[in-house]
Amino acid sequence: MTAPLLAVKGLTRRFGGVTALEDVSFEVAAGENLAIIGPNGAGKTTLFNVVTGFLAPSAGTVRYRGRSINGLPPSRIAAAGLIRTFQNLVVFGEMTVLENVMVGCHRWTGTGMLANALALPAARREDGEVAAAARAVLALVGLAGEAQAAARHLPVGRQRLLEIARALAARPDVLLLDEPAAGLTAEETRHLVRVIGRLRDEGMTFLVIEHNMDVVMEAADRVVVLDYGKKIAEGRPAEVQRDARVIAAYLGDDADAAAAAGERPGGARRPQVPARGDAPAST
Amino acid sequence: MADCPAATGVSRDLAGLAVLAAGLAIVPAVAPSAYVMALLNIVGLYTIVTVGLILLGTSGQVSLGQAAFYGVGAYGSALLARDLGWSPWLAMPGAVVLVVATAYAVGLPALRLADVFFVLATLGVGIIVNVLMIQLDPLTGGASGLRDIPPLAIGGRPLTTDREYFYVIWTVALAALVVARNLTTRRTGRALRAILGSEIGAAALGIDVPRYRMRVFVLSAAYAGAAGALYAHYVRFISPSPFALYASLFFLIMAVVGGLTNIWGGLFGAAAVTALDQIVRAQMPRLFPRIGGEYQTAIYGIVLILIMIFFPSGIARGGIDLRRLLRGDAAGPATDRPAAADVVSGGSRKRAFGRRPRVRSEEEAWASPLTETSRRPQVPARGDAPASPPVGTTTENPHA
Repeated sequence: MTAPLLAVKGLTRRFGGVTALEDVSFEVAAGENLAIIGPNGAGKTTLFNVVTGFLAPSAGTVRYRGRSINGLPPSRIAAAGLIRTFQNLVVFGEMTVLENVMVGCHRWTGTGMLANALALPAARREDGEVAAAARAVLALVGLAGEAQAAARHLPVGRQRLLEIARALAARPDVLLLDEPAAGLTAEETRHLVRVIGRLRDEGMTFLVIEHNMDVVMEAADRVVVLDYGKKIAEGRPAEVQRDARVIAAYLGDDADAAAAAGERPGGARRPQVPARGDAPAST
Repeated sequence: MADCPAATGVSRDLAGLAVLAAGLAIVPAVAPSAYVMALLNIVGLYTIVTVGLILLGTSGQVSLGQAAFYGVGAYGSALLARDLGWSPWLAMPGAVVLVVATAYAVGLPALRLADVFFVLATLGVGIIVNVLMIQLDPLTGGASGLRDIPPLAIGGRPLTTDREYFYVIWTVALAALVVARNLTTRRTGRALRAILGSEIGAAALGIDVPRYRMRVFVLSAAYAGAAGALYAHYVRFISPSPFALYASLFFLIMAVVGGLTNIWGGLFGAAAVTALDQIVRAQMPRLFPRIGGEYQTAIYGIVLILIMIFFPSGIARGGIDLRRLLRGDAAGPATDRPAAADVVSGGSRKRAFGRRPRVRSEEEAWASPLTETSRRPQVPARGDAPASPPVGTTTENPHA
């Protein structure tokens, strides 16, 4: 196996006395789609925040293309090709949808302040390229019709698509999506899964936090399961689904949870993980 | 829906600039008096400063120290030309370089501060610079100021009339507007506006937020410095008083009245506030002969409050907002999602004045472990994961 594109080793993050991430290690190969799953509060978003430089790790390393990116500011990590989206939408509300996506092109464009101020030919040409690239991405995710709307006027689901479009416009090497399907309609979700699959086939690497197990089963090559900040399982989606620890983490294994489960038998709660053995295993 | 499509917005800007240039060209021919010309020159200088402040506002920053940079530009250019014998045409850019260096030195520590503290730091710089103007007597002439500043000259002939300076000042002001428009509509401007929208979101897309904040701060200072240098050679006498705190406040009022995120606000804000100032000064004694000057300031305050109530985004955008208000879609949907637990959050709808503290990632992330500790009771209810379509709806294989 070739060297991993992204390697996380012994990653730990403490907040005072609380350990949000504890000794988490995994690797992501180029062109792979790795899903991160786990119950609420398992540390998934903290993991993203540490990998993308928004939080410093308490211990451990994050290596990207063989080099440590610990301690780099988020903008440098993004510039290196690791682009993320946010679970709680972060769109530039006062800008139009198109402009939001054009901001995404910042990473691979390079005209400076002077060229911009004087509207030099390079800046004009770049603006044309950026607008065309942004429109193409909007068309890809299905937002072309709303290009001129103010971003804050979009419904939540569309804002999430906008964030994904903006991240795609950055032409990332690794795209980290934090609950990309949250708030999306079933149809939007299906479309998104198709888009992700296509981009992955074109060589983009994905790291996806997702609660929607259908999405995970369909799109992910491998799954890492976190619980209480620790990695409790890793493997192909179908394997992880059958893992006793994963089932326990999702269904609860302490007395409270068992009692709660007892009060609401079987059908009330959708037993997502165990019941999905028949899902198509991604190849 | 589309208030301001990028393409038509740009061409509308260009049309506006062309109309402005044409209008300015004929003003000297129709201006009723030298007083009006002088007033228009002052508006031109204030426009340059205010456009600089609005560039700063584009990224969500506010400065209460612009009068200091205005003053460093004025004193710098005056001293270079008068005491070192530089041509004013060289002294003015020289003074701008001096202002740029000053702003950079101020920005290095000040930009590390969170919003409100940054504003206070610029306020402090303004006070310090003004004190230095008064106290560095041998250099600056102290409170009595500098006299006999060389005028601008073209082809050996000194410019002396308001009319001649009108063309110089407004050429620079137009250039300031064009540069600001170019910047705000292209890569740099998008990055600055993204920073206003969300610093976290901007950083996540590779935008070096501290670097952009520094650059736009220095640029806004350069705008003020250029206006100050022009002022020195136009008026030919400078003293510390026009560069005191009140002037910084005045510039900020112009920027806010004009609209902190729209470059046209620089022009409209400078013109409106200068006109208001003149009207209040001239008419108040006539209407209320018995009352003193402090009531002028009060009237002034009332008008500003009214403008802020009715045109909260400034008068340059006032028309657009009014139209939107009449259409009834002023309020946008909330972008916040309730109950997002483990997040580095970035407010996406903050405005220049309502920005969140900058030291945020650690603090806000603190919220997450606290909420996380109470998570177990939620677990049994996790079946309702967001937007899970029923089994069988996603049978399509994306790789097929």
